Amino acid sequence: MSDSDVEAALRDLSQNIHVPEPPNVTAQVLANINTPRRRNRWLAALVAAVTAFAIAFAVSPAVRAGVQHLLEFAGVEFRTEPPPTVAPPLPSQEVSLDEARKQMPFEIYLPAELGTPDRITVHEGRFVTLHYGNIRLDQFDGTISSTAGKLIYNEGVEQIGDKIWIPYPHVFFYIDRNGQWHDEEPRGTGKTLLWQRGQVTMRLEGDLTEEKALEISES
Amino acid sequence: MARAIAGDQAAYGELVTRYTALAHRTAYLLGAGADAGDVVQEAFVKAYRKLGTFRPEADFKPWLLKIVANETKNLHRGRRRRNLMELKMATITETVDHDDPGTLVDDSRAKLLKAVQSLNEHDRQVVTCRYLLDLSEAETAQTLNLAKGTVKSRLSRALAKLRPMLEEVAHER
Repeated sequence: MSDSDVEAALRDLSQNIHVPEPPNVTAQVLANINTPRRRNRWLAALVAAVTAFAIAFAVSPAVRAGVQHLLEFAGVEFRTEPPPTVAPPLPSQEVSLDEARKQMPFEIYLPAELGTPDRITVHEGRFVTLHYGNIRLDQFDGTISSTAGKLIYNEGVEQIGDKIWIPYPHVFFYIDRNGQWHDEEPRGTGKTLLWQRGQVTMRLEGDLTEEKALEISES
Repeated sequence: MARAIAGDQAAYGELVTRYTALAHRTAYLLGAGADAGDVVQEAFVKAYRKLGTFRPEADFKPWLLKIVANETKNLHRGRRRRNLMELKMATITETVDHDDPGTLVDDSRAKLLKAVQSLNEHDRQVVTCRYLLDLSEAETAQTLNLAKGTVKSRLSRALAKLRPMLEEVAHER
């Protein structure tokens, strides 16, 4: 008996092994790609974040615990410490509004309150930033589950309806298509409002009052 | 494929549908057992996230199967389960061809399957990919993350181990 006989027997065997019917996973896979899942372990949260895009804020454990279980901003993770390895920001590219619209897979929102942006940058297709003087508005693809009420947390982090107000400068981190974290240093007073508009998560940062930020987010 | 890489989820959905059966068979035969469905689902989600690392000129099949094989391995690691799920034969049919040693009766097939499963993990994996999944040597190497030479040497070692068993069965007939 030669090796080729053994090979033939194995190929014959392969036709006769019982393998259960494959499940239909397509719908579930597509849902998992799009839906951030509620996680409590950081590793798992990282996996969920890679789906879309992530911003992370360094906050105290108390704030993190308080905000995280109440809010599910897609791709927004409240962290108590920075990711283990962080690369410089992705190269940004200044583009026209039309070009930005072509590059982003969602409709770019222009708050009436802010008028025309001074300039627009895109970051390797991960997110778009509209710049208005000392204010910037980041937009990226995501979803949020609705929550109601207003809760105030330590360090001034506040939930207003389904928006989050962070009244102090914080580094924000985001993840690229390959799972690499990047960071961006805060600018100015770094006051930030986070909210969701349809499938798009908004991050408004700048020299703002809470009232002004809310006004912009509603315009 | 190009549309899926560019982020077209409908196109990716089509890819998932097309490759589900193969991915599932791979996970099952590599030992995922009843968890094969979960492994496949997770593998497709991971594959989507890694599409940025897929070279457009490369072959999708072994690239995907490598992720499936890794997920199956992780499953075992997570559960500290080293032993393989028991594989079994499909419905019993009595097909006998005494002149062709490549075609076995069911009893002989069952013995061969048992022999394959008794191989050490390394040898069993290459035999599974190469013969039970009918992958080329190159695809086997990529799926299992091995050098081609390693695949060759493990295959020939495995065939040498399986041959005496088959000869014994042939002799009994």
